[in-house]
Amino acid sequence: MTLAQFLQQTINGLSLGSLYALLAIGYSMVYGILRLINFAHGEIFMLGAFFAFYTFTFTGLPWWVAMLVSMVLTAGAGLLLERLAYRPLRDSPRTTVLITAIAISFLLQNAGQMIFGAQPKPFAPPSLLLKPLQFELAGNRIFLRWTGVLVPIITLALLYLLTLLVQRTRIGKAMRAVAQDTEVARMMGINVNFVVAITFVVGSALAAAGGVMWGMTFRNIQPLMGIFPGIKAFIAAVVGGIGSLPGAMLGGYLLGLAEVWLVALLSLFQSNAFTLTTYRDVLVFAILILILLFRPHGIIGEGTAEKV
Amino acid sequence: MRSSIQFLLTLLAVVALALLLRYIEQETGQFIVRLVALAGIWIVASASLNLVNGTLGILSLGHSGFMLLGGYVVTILMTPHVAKLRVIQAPIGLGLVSPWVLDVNLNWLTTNQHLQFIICLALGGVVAAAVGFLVGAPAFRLRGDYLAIVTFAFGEIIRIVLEALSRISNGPLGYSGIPTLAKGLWWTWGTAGITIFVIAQLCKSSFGRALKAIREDETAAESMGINLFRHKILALVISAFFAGVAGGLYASWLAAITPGTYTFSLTFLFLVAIGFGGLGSITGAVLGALVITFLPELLRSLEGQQVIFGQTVQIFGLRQVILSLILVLTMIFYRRGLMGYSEFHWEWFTSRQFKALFLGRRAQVLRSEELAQDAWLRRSEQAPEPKQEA
Repeated sequence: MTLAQFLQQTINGLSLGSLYALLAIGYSMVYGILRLINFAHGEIFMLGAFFAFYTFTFTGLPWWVAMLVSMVLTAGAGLLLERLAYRPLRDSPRTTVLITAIAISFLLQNAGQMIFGAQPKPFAPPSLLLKPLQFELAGNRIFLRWTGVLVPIITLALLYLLTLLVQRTRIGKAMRAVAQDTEVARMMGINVNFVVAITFVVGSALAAAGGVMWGMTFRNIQPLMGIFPGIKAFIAAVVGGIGSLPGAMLGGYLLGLAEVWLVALLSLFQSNAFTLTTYRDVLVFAILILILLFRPHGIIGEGTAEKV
Repeated sequence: MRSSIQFLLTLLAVVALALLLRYIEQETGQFIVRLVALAGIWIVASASLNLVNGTLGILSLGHSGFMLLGGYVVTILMTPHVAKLRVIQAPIGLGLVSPWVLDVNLNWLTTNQHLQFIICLALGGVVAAAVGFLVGAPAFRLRGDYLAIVTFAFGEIIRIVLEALSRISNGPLGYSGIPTLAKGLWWTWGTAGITIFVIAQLCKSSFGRALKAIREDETAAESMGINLFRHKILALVISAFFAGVAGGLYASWLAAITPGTYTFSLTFLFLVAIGFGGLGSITGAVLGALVITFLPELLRSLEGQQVIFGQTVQIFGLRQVILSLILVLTMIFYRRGLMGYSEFHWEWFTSRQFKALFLGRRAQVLRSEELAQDAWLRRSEQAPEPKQEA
């Protein structure tokens, strides 16, 4: 592999990793506060892409306005999900909540197919972003698309805003307190339900941004598009250390890079595209299993002892 | 009630069921027979999933992977050579299948198809159980939610790897022309009967009680001397065995197999069944399996073109939506499902509640007693669980 190819793949990996990171944060925040794996997060991501699609199909607004509208709408959907499905189960056994989350995920997938139609829809980003970006490096040409550059930039901006929210604001402080100990936070006068709701709002809005950018990168969207990105982002959150925000970001980027590099490496030996994608998915699951077995708290997360 | 009477009643019920099946097979159309046969397969799958998810209380989401293994064992050993050749020589066939896969069969052992089928089902179960052991050995080092994710990942890995091993599995195309023995009711319902019997006996035994103890409180169970790892893995292996058997039956019922048929949505279907029936109850699993078989067919008429408020709309995928909705609503509003932890028992018919309900005896008195009992149950149910740290 030449240096140019390596660089190109790295930028692709960063772009994919950004999307995983945006999704992984949603999983990580919800897990940190509720100890709940929100299986339906991938479907929230799908909803984000569809809201944006319908916004600019019907109103013709510029793409970044559509993205903001979609973030608001998806945040509403996340809020609704929490209010209707997860809040009634706050004190139920974990198994019950997990089954509910899986069921909600299936419900949204199938309802999506029923309402939006199962056919993939073309998701056209503005022509400006489709222009190829090429430059020369050490005698080799590198081909990129503007989307590939824009996605990491937008992601980093959003992540910076999120860090500000969590570290500098009152509600951010409340979120950290609830994640540390819900009971004590409640005793200190923190409205736990409000904090949980805000968590879902923020996580869903970020997922929506991820969904829109996913659509711009891969240029089509369909109701089942959330399944694999959702699972992989969850794995990214676990790899980084679930419950930790820097961990989720790190895990997202690591997973994106690992995936792209592996495919690039394998394509040197094999040209069968079908086997390549196959190994790609197996690799991700293998990473998950290895991390869970040898370092269940992830790269950054801290382990807690089981209390009786 | 005396146990001899109960035994007689059970025997009578089995005979009645057999007569009913015979009636269905002879008097109704092919469609109904196929559907009832499918119900038998789903009972096997749901009851086996319930052993881990309900009785042991650990979410295992890799059931479809185990079923796929069983399905492939039956496919490769039972499909006639001609049918295999036809599949791989089809215009779109990959033509990658190894020669030994084409040649292997059980004819050297016996030429009786039914005997072969029994051996294949058992072998499929054993293969699935062995893989279940390989999955469980690392996975049971984890607890709770992580375990669910890892079993899910393993289920997908089994499918993806089998799909990639196109020399054996013929890739995503799979095989067709599998002998359709499982279309008959006796195969599927017979297997369902054996499964229910074995799992019910297991649940009654000290092993089953240990599983329930683990479900209620792992730490307490461990301190009572229950070997957590051994019990969990044995439960998973048994569950995987029956999943393999169900997968073999399903492949034969469909007469075809592709890895794409055995995705996570299949596991989800059984999750709906046991969640609706009541996690931890075999009776519930059976009832749930009947619901997931027949409800989608009843809803089929609602799909396609419908006129709602004078507007013609196309409805597709409604059945899946309704199945998911059933599970969500059960979990939120009636977590115990139909049966909770309780099982069908002949003493139901002599219980005071039953008499009060159907014979009108002392109904008023009982009603108040029942209300008090319910309130007490609900209170203990709502008590917050002790927090578990991951």
